[in-house]
Amino acid sequence: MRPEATEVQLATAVILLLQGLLVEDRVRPDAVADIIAGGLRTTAFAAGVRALLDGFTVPLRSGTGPAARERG
Amino acid sequence: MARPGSVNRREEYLEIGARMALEFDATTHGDDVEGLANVRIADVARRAGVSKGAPYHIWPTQEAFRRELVAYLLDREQAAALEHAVHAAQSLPPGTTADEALRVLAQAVFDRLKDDPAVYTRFSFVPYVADPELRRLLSQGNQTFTHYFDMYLQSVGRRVRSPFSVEHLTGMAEAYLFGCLIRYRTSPEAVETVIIVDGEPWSLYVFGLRALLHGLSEPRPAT
Repeated sequence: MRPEATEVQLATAVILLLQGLLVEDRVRPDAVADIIAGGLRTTAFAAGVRALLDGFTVPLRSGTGPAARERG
Repeated sequence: MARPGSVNRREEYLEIGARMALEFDATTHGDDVEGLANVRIADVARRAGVSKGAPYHIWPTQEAFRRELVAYLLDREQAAALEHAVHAAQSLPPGTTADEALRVLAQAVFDRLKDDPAVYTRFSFVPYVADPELRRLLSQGNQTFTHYFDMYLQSVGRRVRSPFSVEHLTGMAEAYLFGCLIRYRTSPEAVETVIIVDGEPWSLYVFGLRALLHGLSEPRPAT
Protein backbone atom coordinates (compact mmCIF):
# COMPACT_ATOMS: atom_id res chain seq x y z
CA MET A 1 0.00 0.00 0.00
CA ARG A 2 1.02 3.58 -0.45
CA PRO A 3 1.93 4.80 3.03
CA GLU A 4 -0.82 7.43 3.00
CA ALA A 5 -3.61 5.01 1.97
CA THR A 6 -5.13 1.98 3.67
CA GLU A 7 -6.47 -1.38 2.56
CA VAL A 8 -9.91 -0.38 3.77
CA GLN A 9 -9.86 2.71 1.56
CA LEU A 10 -8.79 0.65 -1.44
CA ALA A 11 -11.50 -1.94 -0.80
CA THR A 12 -14.08 0.81 -0.40
CA ALA A 13 -13.02 2.43 -3.67
CA VAL A 14 -13.39 -0.90 -5.49
CA ILE A 15 -16.89 -1.37 -4.07
CA LEU A 16 -17.85 2.19 -5.03
CA LEU A 17 -16.68 1.55 -8.59
CA LEU A 18 -18.62 -1.70 -8.67
CA GLN A 19 -21.79 0.01 -7.46
CA GLY A 20 -21.48 2.70 -10.09
CA LEU A 21 -20.77 0.22 -12.86
CA LEU A 22 -23.83 -1.81 -11.89
CA VAL A 23 -25.91 1.33 -12.45
CA GLU A 24 -24.12 1.94 -15.74
CA ASP A 25 -24.73 -1.67 -16.77
CA ARG A 26 -28.48 -1.06 -16.62
CA VAL A 27 -28.30 2.12 -18.64
CA ARG A 28 -25.27 1.66 -20.90
CA PRO A 29 -24.38 -2.02 -21.03
CA ASP A 30 -22.05 -1.36 -23.96
CA ALA A 31 -19.92 0.84 -21.68
CA VAL A 32 -19.16 -2.03 -19.31
CA ALA A 33 -19.03 -4.83 -21.90
CA ASP A 34 -15.88 -6.75 -22.66
CA ILE A 35 -13.14 -4.65 -24.18
CA ILE A 36 -11.08 -6.66 -26.62
CA ALA A 37 -8.15 -5.29 -28.55
CA GLY A 38 -4.80 -6.69 -29.57
CA GLY A 39 -5.68 -10.09 -28.18
CA LEU A 40 -6.40 -8.63 -24.76
CA ARG A 41 -9.79 -9.16 -23.20
CA THR A 42 -10.91 -7.19 -20.19
CA THR A 43 -13.96 -5.47 -18.75
CA ALA A 44 -14.46 -1.96 -17.45
CA PHE A 45 -14.65 -3.36 -13.93
CA ALA A 46 -11.47 -5.40 -14.24
CA ALA A 47 -9.62 -2.48 -15.78
CA GLY A 48 -10.94 -0.16 -13.07
CA VAL A 49 -9.92 -2.50 -10.26
CA ARG A 50 -6.45 -2.77 -11.77
CA ALA A 51 -6.22 1.02 -11.99
CA LEU A 52 -7.30 1.42 -8.36
CA LEU A 53 -4.83 -1.24 -7.21
CA ASP A 54 -2.02 0.57 -9.01
CA GLY A 55 -3.15 3.94 -7.67
CA PHE A 56 -3.36 2.87 -4.04
CA THR A 57 -0.18 0.82 -3.94
CA VAL A 58 3.52 1.10 -4.65
CA PRO A 59 5.55 -1.75 -6.10
CA LEU A 60 7.67 -3.80 -3.74
CA ARG A 61 9.80 -5.00 -6.62
CA SER A 62 9.80 -4.72 -10.37
CA GLY A 63 6.55 -5.98 -11.87
CA THR A 64 4.88 -6.24 -15.23
CA GLY A 65 1.87 -3.94 -14.79
CA PRO A 66 1.32 -0.44 -16.19
CA ALA A 67 3.21 1.20 -13.35
CA ALA A 68 6.21 -1.04 -13.92
CA ARG A 69 6.12 -0.40 -17.66
CA GLU A 70 6.11 3.32 -16.97
CA ARG A 71 9.12 2.98 -14.74
CA GLY A 72 10.84 1.12 -17.56
CA MET B 1 -47.19 25.86 -34.10
CA ALA B 2 -46.89 26.52 -30.39
CA ARG B 3 -49.72 28.46 -28.82
CA PRO B 4 -48.88 31.85 -27.26
CA GLY B 5 -47.47 31.31 -23.79
CA SER B 6 -47.05 27.58 -24.28
CA VAL B 7 -43.27 27.81 -23.86
CA ASN B 8 -43.68 29.46 -20.48
CA ARG B 9 -46.39 26.97 -19.56
CA ARG B 10 -44.15 24.08 -20.56
CA GLU B 11 -41.37 25.45 -18.36
CA GLU B 12 -43.79 26.02 -15.50
CA TYR B 13 -45.20 22.49 -15.65
CA LEU B 14 -41.70 21.01 -15.86
CA GLU B 15 -40.53 23.08 -12.90
CA ILE B 16 -43.52 21.94 -10.86
CA GLY B 17 -42.86 18.34 -11.90
CA ALA B 18 -39.20 18.73 -10.93
CA ARG B 19 -40.14 20.09 -7.51
CA MET B 20 -42.56 17.19 -7.01
CA ALA B 21 -39.88 14.68 -8.00
CA LEU B 22 -37.37 16.30 -5.66
CA GLU B 23 -39.85 16.21 -2.79
CA PHE B 24 -39.31 12.45 -2.78
CA ASP B 25 -35.96 13.02 -1.15
CA ALA B 26 -34.26 9.68 -0.60
CA THR B 27 -33.58 10.55 3.02
CA THR B 28 -37.29 10.72 3.81
CA HIS B 29 -38.82 8.51 1.12
CA GLY B 30 -36.12 5.92 0.73
CA ASP B 31 -38.54 3.19 -0.26
CA ASP B 32 -40.77 5.28 -2.45
CA VAL B 33 -38.90 4.86 -5.69
CA GLU B 34 -42.04 4.27 -7.70
CA GLY B 35 -43.60 7.44 -6.39
CA LEU B 36 -40.48 9.32 -7.36
CA ALA B 37 -40.61 8.11 -10.94
CA ASN B 38 -44.35 8.56 -11.26
CA VAL B 39 -45.00 12.24 -10.95
CA ARG B 40 -48.58 12.44 -12.24
CA ILE B 41 -49.51 15.03 -14.77
CA ALA B 42 -52.87 15.52 -13.04
CA ASP B 43 -51.06 16.54 -9.84
CA VAL B 44 -48.86 18.93 -11.80
CA ALA B 45 -52.00 20.51 -13.26
CA ARG B 46 -53.56 20.82 -9.82
CA ARG B 47 -50.49 22.56 -8.42
CA ALA B 48 -50.39 24.85 -11.45
CA GLY B 49 -54.02 25.77 -10.84
CA VAL B 50 -55.16 24.66 -14.29
CA SER B 51 -57.59 22.03 -15.47
CA LYS B 52 -56.50 18.41 -15.41
CA GLY B 53 -56.38 18.29 -19.18
CA ALA B 54 -54.45 21.52 -19.75
CA PRO B 55 -50.94 19.96 -19.78
CA TYR B 56 -52.17 17.52 -22.42
CA HIS B 57 -52.20 20.42 -24.87
CA ILE B 58 -48.40 20.21 -24.63
CA TRP B 59 -47.77 16.50 -24.02
CA PRO B 60 -50.06 13.93 -25.63
CA THR B 61 -49.49 11.40 -22.84
CA GLN B 62 -48.29 11.20 -19.28
CA GLU B 63 -45.31 9.17 -20.47
CA ALA B 64 -44.27 11.95 -22.86
CA PHE B 65 -44.37 14.41 -19.98
CA ARG B 66 -42.26 12.13 -17.75
CA ARG B 67 -39.64 11.67 -20.45
CA GLU B 68 -39.26 15.41 -20.88
CA LEU B 69 -39.18 15.79 -17.10
CA VAL B 70 -36.24 13.37 -16.92
CA ALA B 71 -34.38 15.37 -19.58
CA TYR B 72 -35.17 18.59 -17.68
CA LEU B 73 -33.83 17.17 -14.40
CA LEU B 74 -30.69 15.76 -16.02
CA ASP B 75 -29.98 19.08 -17.74
CA ARG B 76 -30.29 20.87 -14.40
CA GLU B 77 -28.00 18.38 -12.71
CA GLN B 78 -25.27 18.68 -15.34
CA ALA B 79 -25.55 22.45 -15.56
CA ALA B 80 -25.23 22.75 -11.78
CA ALA B 81 -22.12 20.54 -11.69
CA LEU B 82 -20.52 22.35 -14.59
CA GLU B 83 -21.27 25.79 -13.15
CA HIS B 84 -19.68 24.75 -9.87
CA ALA B 85 -16.59 23.40 -11.64
CA VAL B 86 -16.18 26.59 -13.65
CA HIS B 87 -16.51 28.69 -10.49
CA ALA B 88 -13.88 26.53 -8.74
CA ALA B 89 -11.57 26.77 -11.77
CA GLN B 90 -11.76 30.57 -11.68
CA SER B 91 -10.61 30.55 -8.06
CA LEU B 92 -7.44 28.58 -8.79
CA PRO B 93 -4.30 30.68 -8.40
CA PRO B 94 -1.87 31.01 -11.33
CA GLY B 95 0.69 28.23 -11.45
CA THR B 96 -1.66 25.59 -10.06
CA THR B 97 -0.47 22.13 -11.08
CA ALA B 98 -2.72 19.80 -13.07
CA ASP B 99 -3.03 17.40 -10.13
CA GLU B 100 -3.93 20.22 -7.76
CA ALA B 101 -6.52 21.48 -10.26
CA LEU B 102 -7.96 17.97 -10.54
CA ARG B 103 -8.16 17.69 -6.76
CA VAL B 104 -9.91 21.02 -6.32
CA LEU B 105 -12.25 20.82 -9.33
CA ALA B 106 -13.31 17.19 -8.91
CA GLN B 107 -13.95 17.78 -5.20
CA ALA B 108 -15.98 20.89 -6.04
CA VAL B 109 -18.16 18.89 -8.42
CA PHE B 110 -18.64 16.12 -5.85
CA ASP B 111 -19.48 18.61 -3.11
CA ARG B 112 -22.03 20.26 -5.36
CA LEU B 113 -23.73 16.98 -6.27
CA LYS B 114 -23.57 15.04 -3.01
CA ASP B 115 -26.46 16.82 -1.32
CA ASP B 116 -28.50 17.59 -4.43
CA PRO B 117 -31.70 15.53 -4.48
CA ALA B 118 -31.90 16.06 -8.25
CA VAL B 119 -28.87 13.78 -8.59
CA TYR B 120 -30.60 10.97 -6.74
CA THR B 121 -33.67 11.39 -8.88
CA ARG B 122 -31.55 10.12 -11.78
CA PHE B 123 -31.00 6.80 -10.02
CA SER B 124 -34.71 6.39 -9.31
CA PHE B 125 -35.36 6.25 -13.05
CA VAL B 126 -32.85 3.46 -13.70
CA PRO B 127 -35.42 0.65 -13.10
CA TYR B 128 -37.41 2.04 -16.03
CA VAL B 129 -34.73 1.82 -18.72
CA ALA B 130 -36.82 -0.64 -20.71
CA ASP B 131 -38.29 2.58 -22.11
CA PRO B 132 -35.92 3.32 -25.04
CA GLU B 133 -36.31 7.09 -24.77
CA LEU B 134 -35.62 7.02 -21.03
CA ARG B 135 -32.58 4.85 -21.66
CA ARG B 136 -31.33 7.30 -24.28
CA LEU B 137 -31.68 10.23 -21.89
CA LEU B 138 -29.95 8.47 -19.00
CA SER B 139 -27.14 7.13 -21.17
CA GLN B 140 -26.07 10.49 -22.49
CA GLY B 141 -22.61 11.03 -21.13
CA ASN B 142 -21.32 14.39 -20.14
CA GLN B 143 -19.22 15.53 -23.07
CA THR B 144 -17.96 18.51 -21.11
CA PHE B 145 -16.29 16.30 -18.54
CA THR B 146 -14.83 14.18 -21.33
CA HIS B 147 -13.15 17.36 -22.53
CA TYR B 148 -11.84 18.16 -19.03
CA PHE B 149 -10.42 14.66 -18.56
CA ASP B 150 -8.70 14.92 -21.93
CA MET B 151 -7.26 18.30 -20.94
CA TYR B 152 -6.04 16.87 -17.63
CA LEU B 153 -4.26 13.97 -19.33
CA GLN B 154 -2.62 16.33 -21.81
CA SER B 155 -1.45 18.64 -19.05
CA VAL B 156 0.21 15.78 -17.15
CA GLY B 157 1.77 14.42 -20.35
CA ARG B 158 -0.44 11.35 -20.68
CA ARG B 159 -2.81 9.84 -23.24
CA VAL B 160 -5.48 7.14 -23.08
CA ARG B 161 -3.84 3.76 -23.57
CA SER B 162 -4.95 0.96 -25.87
CA PRO B 163 -7.41 -0.79 -25.85
CA PHE B 164 -9.31 1.96 -24.06
CA SER B 165 -10.90 5.09 -25.44
CA VAL B 166 -11.62 8.41 -23.83
CA GLU B 167 -15.26 7.29 -23.74
CA HIS B 168 -14.25 4.26 -21.65
CA LEU B 169 -12.35 6.55 -19.33
CA THR B 170 -15.23 9.01 -19.00
CA GLY B 171 -17.75 6.22 -18.47
CA MET B 172 -15.65 4.68 -15.73
CA ALA B 173 -15.08 8.02 -14.04
CA GLU B 174 -18.83 8.67 -14.17
CA ALA B 175 -19.59 5.21 -12.76
CA TYR B 176 -17.15 5.81 -9.91
CA LEU B 177 -18.79 9.18 -9.22
CA PHE B 178 -22.22 7.51 -9.15
CA GLY B 179 -20.93 4.84 -6.77
CA CYS B 180 -19.49 7.50 -4.46
CA LEU B 181 -22.69 9.56 -4.54
CA ILE B 182 -24.87 6.53 -3.78
CA ARG B 183 -22.64 5.47 -0.90
CA TYR B 184 -22.46 9.04 0.40
CA ARG B 185 -26.19 8.94 1.13
CA THR B 186 -25.80 6.00 3.48
CA SER B 187 -22.21 6.25 4.70
CA PRO B 188 -20.79 9.72 4.09
CA GLU B 189 -17.82 8.96 6.33
CA ALA B 190 -16.74 6.14 3.98
CA VAL B 191 -16.51 8.50 1.01
CA GLU B 192 -15.18 11.53 2.84
CA THR B 193 -12.25 9.69 4.38
CA VAL B 194 -9.14 11.75 3.73
CA ILE B 195 -5.86 10.62 2.22
CA ILE B 196 -3.02 13.08 2.81
CA VAL B 197 -0.69 13.33 -0.19
CA ASP B 198 2.22 15.76 0.05
CA GLY B 199 0.39 17.60 2.81
CA GLU B 200 -2.80 18.03 0.78
CA PRO B 201 -6.09 16.30 1.67
CA TRP B 202 -7.52 14.05 -1.07
CA SER B 203 -10.95 12.56 -0.55
CA LEU B 204 -11.46 8.92 -1.46
CA TYR B 205 -13.48 10.08 -4.47
CA VAL B 206 -10.76 12.31 -5.94
CA PHE B 207 -7.93 9.96 -5.04
CA GLY B 208 -9.75 7.08 -6.74
CA LEU B 209 -10.63 9.24 -9.74
CA ARG B 210 -6.98 10.12 -10.22
CA ALA B 211 -6.07 6.41 -10.01
CA LEU B 212 -8.62 5.60 -12.71
CA LEU B 213 -7.41 8.41 -14.97
CA HIS B 214 -3.82 7.24 -14.62
CA GLY B 215 -4.66 3.53 -14.85
CA LEU B 216 -6.34 3.89 -18.20
CA SER B 217 -3.68 6.16 -19.61
CA GLU B 218 0.04 6.09 -20.32
CA PRO B 219 2.78 8.69 -20.72
CA ARG B 220 2.86 10.39 -24.09
CA PRO B 221 5.92 9.40 -26.08
CA ALA B 222 8.56 12.09 -26.29
CA THR B 223 8.42 13.99 -29.58
